[in-house]
Amino acid sequence: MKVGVVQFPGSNCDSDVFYVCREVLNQETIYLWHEEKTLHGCDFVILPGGFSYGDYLRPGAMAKLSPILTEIKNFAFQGGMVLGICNGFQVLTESGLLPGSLLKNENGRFICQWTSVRVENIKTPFTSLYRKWESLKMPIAHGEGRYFVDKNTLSSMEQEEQIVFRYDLGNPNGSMDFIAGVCNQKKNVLGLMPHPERCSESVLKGEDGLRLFQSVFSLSGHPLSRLA
Amino acid sequence: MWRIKAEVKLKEGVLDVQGRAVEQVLRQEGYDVSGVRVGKMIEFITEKKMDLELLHEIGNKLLFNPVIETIEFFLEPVS
Repeated sequence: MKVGVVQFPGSNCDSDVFYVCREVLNQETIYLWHEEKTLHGCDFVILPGGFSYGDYLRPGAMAKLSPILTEIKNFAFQGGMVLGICNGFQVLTESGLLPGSLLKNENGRFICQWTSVRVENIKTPFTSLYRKWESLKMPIAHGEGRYFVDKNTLSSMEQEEQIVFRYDLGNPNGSMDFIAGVCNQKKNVLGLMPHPERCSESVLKGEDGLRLFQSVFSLSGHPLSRLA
Repeated sequence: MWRIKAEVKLKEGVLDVQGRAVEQVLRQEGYDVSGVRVGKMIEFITEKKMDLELLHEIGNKLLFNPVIETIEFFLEPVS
């Protein structure tokens, strides 16, 4: 599988995602600069964490108008796999690829800590290697991660099983219904605030994020270097 | 020439943590205030007067996020 990691000015988790895909999981991986007008044949596009355009105006607001987003929207519309982590999640909600929005944390602070996240839906290409209701240990690091969506959209998302991850030991940022990650109706676009790329190696004291990437890579039948 | 000001605020019912903090401090300083909201103001100049439709197009494209915010435009002539 060919992976594209998008780089905006201000992205800062791009190398971590790139490292996990290429070095840990042995996938062909390239960087995609935000001004590019092609995805170079990538099968899986990841929008990493960071502070694209310095979070000016709103997190993800400027990034959604980057040339590469036009390509990503077309790609997603055709069923292409797109993952947004942290600021990448904010870019996906701003661009309308995912419902809702991310607001400043309820306690008004930047939160950087390990957190417990429950897998709500394993019938997505991103979570097929997890067990339903499994609790994962993943780090969060954000100032604006409070998920918000209007009540009508929320109930339709619940019906369509679009809520993929929920915080399960407390609600660190005050997200509506403990929501930590959501997907689109077609299940090919996922966004989450926790950082799976920061818990994909035992040296980092956690490997619960690895299966998210492996779930996607298992779709292509590519021999994975570290599949259990 | 016209100066256009766009006032963006979080929707009513959406918790504004900055507004809450500002309110707490104002009250701590002895001012009897409530309902504090912190928004932002975006200002720009145009040669011709823009119609509201075009302003809302700009607003929807970039200046505000209708999921969480409201926007209001104010126009004034500049000499």
